[in-house]
Amino acid sequence: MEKVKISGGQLFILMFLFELGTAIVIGPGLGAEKDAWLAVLLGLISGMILFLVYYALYRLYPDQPLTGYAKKILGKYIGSVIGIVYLFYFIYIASRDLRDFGELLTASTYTYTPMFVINAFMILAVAYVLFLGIEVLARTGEIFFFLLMLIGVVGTILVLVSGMIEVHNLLPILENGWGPVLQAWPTTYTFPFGEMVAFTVLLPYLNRPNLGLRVGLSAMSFSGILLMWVVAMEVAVLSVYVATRSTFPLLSAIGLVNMTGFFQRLDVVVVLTLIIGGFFKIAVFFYAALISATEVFRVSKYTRLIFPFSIVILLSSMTVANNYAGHIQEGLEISTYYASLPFQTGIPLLLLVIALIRRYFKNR
Amino acid sequence: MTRKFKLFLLFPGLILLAGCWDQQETGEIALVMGMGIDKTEENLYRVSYQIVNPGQVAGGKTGQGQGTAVTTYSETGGTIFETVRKISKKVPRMLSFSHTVVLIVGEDLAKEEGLARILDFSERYYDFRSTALVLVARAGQARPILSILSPLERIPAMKIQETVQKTEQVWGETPQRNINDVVQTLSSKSKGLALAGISLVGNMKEGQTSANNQQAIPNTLVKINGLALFKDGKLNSWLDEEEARGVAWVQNKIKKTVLTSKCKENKGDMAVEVMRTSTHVKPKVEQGKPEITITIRGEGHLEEITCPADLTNPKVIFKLNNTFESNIKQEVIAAVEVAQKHKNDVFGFGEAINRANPKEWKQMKKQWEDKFANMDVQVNVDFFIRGTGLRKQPIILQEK
Repeated sequence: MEKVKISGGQLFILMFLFELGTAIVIGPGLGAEKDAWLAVLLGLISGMILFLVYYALYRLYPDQPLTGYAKKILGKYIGSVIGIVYLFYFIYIASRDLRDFGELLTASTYTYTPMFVINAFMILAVAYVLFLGIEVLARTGEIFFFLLMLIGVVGTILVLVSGMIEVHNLLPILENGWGPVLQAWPTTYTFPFGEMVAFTVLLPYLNRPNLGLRVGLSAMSFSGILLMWVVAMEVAVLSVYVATRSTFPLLSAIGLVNMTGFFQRLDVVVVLTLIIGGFFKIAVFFYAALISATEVFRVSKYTRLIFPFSIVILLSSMTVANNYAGHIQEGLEISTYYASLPFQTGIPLLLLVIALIRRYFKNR
Repeated sequence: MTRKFKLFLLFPGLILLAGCWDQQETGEIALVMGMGIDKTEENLYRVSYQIVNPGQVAGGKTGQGQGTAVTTYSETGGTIFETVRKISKKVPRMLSFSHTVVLIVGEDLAKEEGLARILDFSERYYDFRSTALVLVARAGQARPILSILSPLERIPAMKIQETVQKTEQVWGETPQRNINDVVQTLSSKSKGLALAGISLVGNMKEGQTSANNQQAIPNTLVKINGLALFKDGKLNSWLDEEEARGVAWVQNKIKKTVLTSKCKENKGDMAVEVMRTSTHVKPKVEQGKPEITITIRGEGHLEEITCPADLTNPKVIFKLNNTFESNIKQEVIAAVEVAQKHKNDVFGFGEAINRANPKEWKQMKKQWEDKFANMDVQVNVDFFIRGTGLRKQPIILQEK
């Protein structure tokens, strides 16, 4: 771990950018069709409850990342195994996010550029900022946060003013009952809200530990509400038929903006959003992987691992799926149930229960 | 590493920053402004592209030569995208669709095959924008319409786009529908589609030369003509004038329009400009029987009157209101009757019922066509003349 501290505000911004990250472009919860926003709301609420687990673990071991306290709770050997699997998990998700990023850019603007080139440049930028340390990442976040907010506010105003929102596209609410919403719920819960598990590694850097809960929950609810608005807007603008068929619904929706023939072709705004969000998402997962590795393998300086890890993430982002369909199917089915649920919910919950039991017996 | 060496390392960055991998120089692309799709006899698509000739459109005197502002090229193929690339045999540049504003579909194609197949490419291709307007070439093919040159607006595709926009804004008969709107209605099974028609007036050959633009009365022009109703994605029937405007009334798409009426005892005519209209469609289901109540509110100004009427008397104005109210009502009823005759729910009544009574909708969804054809439609209109313009009284006030 580095010997630096980040402020509550910086952590908030990192969490916010991380949560929006790739999710805002891909449109989570559209499996629930018209009620996608409800699926996001359910995901948000359950994700916030899950964050309480991470926070409780953090308060029990305020100066250690997840892979550190896993060893304390479960013993050296099992703890190390847990650390290694988390290392793989973080790398896996980082490479999935890198793939998302490359897919959108190649599908929308850089049609004839090999995805490898795009991904390589992205990982280069991420590796560079991580080389400079978490504090620099946090400060970079501050700059981009305001840029992203500006884009968001302007984009929202343009969408509202150009009169594309057809509220009746969202009605009737719960057309087919709660079934589809509940079916889509695991995907919105794990992506993006459950991915907060990466912050179990970053929380120890917080300069005032008692702020952790407030910062985490507010960042989640702020970004969650924004995601709800975005998904609802996508359905309202595109109608459920087009939105569910779109590879990147936000891109299709914003592309329709045409205000007085002057403000139009705003697709680039979406691409910019993705680049900013994707950058922070990949960076946080990458960083979580680096810190996990230093904990498990007792490497003195994590910067030594950046180069090999970059190569691993870059290459796995290329090999993680054959095509976009495979990539998304893996994300919705395999990754949700076999990777995300155990790593985001199962193991942390188990760790907390065991830690509390141990503490209880120790105190007696 | 010395400072100089580090600085030197920045230079390779310059090369990367200078451009992107798939750069396209403006000199290498051909801007497609309009696109037309027809079906050939061999059952292939004939796709026509109206391409800008940059030298002819550029501002300033030097830019405007003798040539035409646009050129229309066609190519045939089994798929649309095939023609986009195959046309390289005729066009020395890469087609770019980012400025395409209209997509015209030949009537035969719309009637026999429908729109669903030809729109996949335009929705999927990264360069194409779903904001391009879709029109149907009435009683003809798309290709000749795209090839007609126009005065006022040098690029005919933009002329078409602006004509549709203006018609919607001030006349209200035909709607602007872009690719996204069309796909939305096509995918929604419970709703029919209505698109503006376009047709050619005059001689095609003459319209294709720039001489057409050099006359005070152009020999050839294209005009927006009628409303094409689609059923199950295929062209089903055409509506004109009042019926077409009736559809727009129900869909709450009237921004401004002009209503005319005869005066009492046929002593003259009058016209009002209608604005600030709003339409509410209220569905009701009683014992499995759907019902729709359409409430229209609007106001306007009297712009022309050629009969003796005492316009300073509010009661006279109230009477005029009633006349126009029944005018609007007639248009709406005419449109509803035509739609019911064709069993084609262009208004989206089905979706309105789904929104209000989702449970009942699930039951009647399957027999919706028949239910729609036989359902009761109530029309209530409130219309108010707010002003009479710059004169209080007509010229012909006293009839002798």
